[in-house]
Amino acid sequence: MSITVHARAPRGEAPPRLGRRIRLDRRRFLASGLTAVGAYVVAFRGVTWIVGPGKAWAAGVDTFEPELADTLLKMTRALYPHDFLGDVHYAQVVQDLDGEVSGFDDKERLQMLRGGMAELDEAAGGTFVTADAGGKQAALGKIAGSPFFEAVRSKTVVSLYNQPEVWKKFGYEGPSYDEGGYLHRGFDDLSWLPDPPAEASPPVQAG
Amino acid sequence: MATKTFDKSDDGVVVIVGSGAGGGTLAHELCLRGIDVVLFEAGAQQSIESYVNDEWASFSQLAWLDNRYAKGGWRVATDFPNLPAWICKTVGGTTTHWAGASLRIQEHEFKARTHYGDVDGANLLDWPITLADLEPYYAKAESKLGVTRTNGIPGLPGNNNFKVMYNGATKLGYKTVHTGRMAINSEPRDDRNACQQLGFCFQGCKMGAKWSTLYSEIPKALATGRLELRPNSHVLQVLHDDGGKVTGVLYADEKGERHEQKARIVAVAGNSIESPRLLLNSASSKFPDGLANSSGQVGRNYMRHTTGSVYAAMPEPVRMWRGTTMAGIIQDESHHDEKRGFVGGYEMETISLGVPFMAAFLDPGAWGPDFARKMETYENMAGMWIVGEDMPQADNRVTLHASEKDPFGMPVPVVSFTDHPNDAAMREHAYRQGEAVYDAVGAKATYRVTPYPSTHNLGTNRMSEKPEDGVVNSYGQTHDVKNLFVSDGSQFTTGATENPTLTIVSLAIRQAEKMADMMGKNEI
Repeated sequence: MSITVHARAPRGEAPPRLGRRIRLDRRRFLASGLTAVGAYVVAFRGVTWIVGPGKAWAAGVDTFEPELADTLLKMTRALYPHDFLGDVHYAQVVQDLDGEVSGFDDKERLQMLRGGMAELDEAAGGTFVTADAGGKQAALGKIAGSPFFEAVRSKTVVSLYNQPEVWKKFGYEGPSYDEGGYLHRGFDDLSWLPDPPAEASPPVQAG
Repeated sequence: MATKTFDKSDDGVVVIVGSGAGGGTLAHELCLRGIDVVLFEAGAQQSIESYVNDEWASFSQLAWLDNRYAKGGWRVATDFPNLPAWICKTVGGTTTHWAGASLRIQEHEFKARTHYGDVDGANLLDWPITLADLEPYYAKAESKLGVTRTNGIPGLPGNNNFKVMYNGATKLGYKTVHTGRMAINSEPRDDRNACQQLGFCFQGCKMGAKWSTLYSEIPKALATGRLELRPNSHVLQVLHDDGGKVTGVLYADEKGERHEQKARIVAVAGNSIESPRLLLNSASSKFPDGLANSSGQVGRNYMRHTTGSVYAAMPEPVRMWRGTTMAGIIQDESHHDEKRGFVGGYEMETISLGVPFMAAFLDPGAWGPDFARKMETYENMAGMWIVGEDMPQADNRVTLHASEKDPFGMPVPVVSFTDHPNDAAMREHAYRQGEAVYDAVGAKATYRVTPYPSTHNLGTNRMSEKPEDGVVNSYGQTHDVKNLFVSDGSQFTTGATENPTLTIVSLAIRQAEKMADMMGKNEI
């Protein structure tokens, strides 16, 4: 299988009629991205950081202690596991979860997340982060539906799949207006089925 | 040009509550007839410039997000307990979000009780009008909206998603398969651009190619000098005098300050949740069960169409997000034939969601590797939406919450819905046929997707011949209060198979004509 990557024209340039295309095979595509393993969590001068493999990136969280950040990093991936997504995208979700509890006097939600982590560790029979893939799924299955589980799951399903860099990995091209829509960029380029007749699907009108 | 403003004590104006398909059209049609109108809109004003090609951002910008409750047996009550409907709070109402499908209701569907018989548990009734009554207004509405395949307007070109639908459908033997009758310009018309296949029909059309009252009816009405538009103005109650005639509305402005606007006539067009809520919230000692509710039918018979989606993982990329979202239809199942095991019919229409909304709606609440693998077929997905006639049921209804109030102190709405067995049988048939369409062209997997929060909300102030059976007469005039009208889809006696907007617009044109005539004769 091959994946087609559509390179965007920089803002301000006239949009090309056809997006420039770079073809990569799947293996190269995956190797070029951030792979599933490798991010780690550290505390440095009182701030918790999620650090990418080779220190390629680091995502700071304001409120979560390292253990909670690490648990949520592993939990969000286990909830929506995509091998072709690097940890950087799950770290974004952890940052968003952290954003919900930072800067408020009300610590109820933070306490709920901390309590949930303990619940998840118990369900994993030790620590969730060190459980293998099957163990993680089993632990999540045990706590599914709890307020903690739903708080993390419902945030993750929005925050993970709302990242433009994630869209590209699914092939989704996102906003089209600035590039003139898809009228000249492949809205009808499917060629593995015959074209419908003109009475069913008229040609694009001139002008 | 300075737009017209009217004094709050001006009791000669027609007040319209809601600026969507019904209210926006009614406003324009009345202004053209020389009648002064104040058009209230609870939401803010957007524009084709401010619309965004981004699903969640657009949802925040346009959707009605005031608290509501979903109750009953439908899955929406579990998955989206505070979002029973996916409709809009903005100038132009849900004509910002609609997909543009513009179909006439079929002759037999206006006589559902006659043709379907006494369906157990269904509160079926014939409409007090026929297709023949409405045909002249359908013709006017199709011209106003610029519906493709009418008035010599060419159909839209099919996108990749339609190619898959067409090939599968015709292999299955379906005959009526095309790019639809769409209120989306296939060529420039009426100062609106031609469609550039953006793929964001649901997010407000940034080309202005899709008809919306926001940039069609409302600016034209403003240009007559007879319209005042009041956005960010939430109508709380319709007021009446001792004689039982309505005298105006109580509303909260942008700052939350309350005002009274006097009126000669009030027309309610807030869609099928807010319109009955407003009438129920207008209860008084004279009308203890709510305004225009002597029948007890206000809020009842809530319909949402029998819907569902089928997405299919095809063997090759489809990239269904490219291009017009709903320009593709199979109409071979839209007839009434009880041999299929249900009354009424359904349409199959192309649909697509971007990655953000696919994650939210493919299987709400799902997680884990199986869900992730389905999402990973996204680039190869084709998709269709099922839209069919659902049965009106008295206990599917909009009521007022017993204790929870909105920031203005008005009870929030509760929307209760449970499928009728006919709805469930139809959906099962439609899922099976939808899967067969994609299987016929080699689908690797098909996904039955549960109905989204309601986009078609109908029936909660229904039309009836007899006052005891419904809320309004065939002109949308309430049976109880002669200068109070309903101008949206809540008038629908039954849901029919078709996407409702064209019928809402046609009814609004007909209502404007009648209202102007009655005003001219000083009958109201």
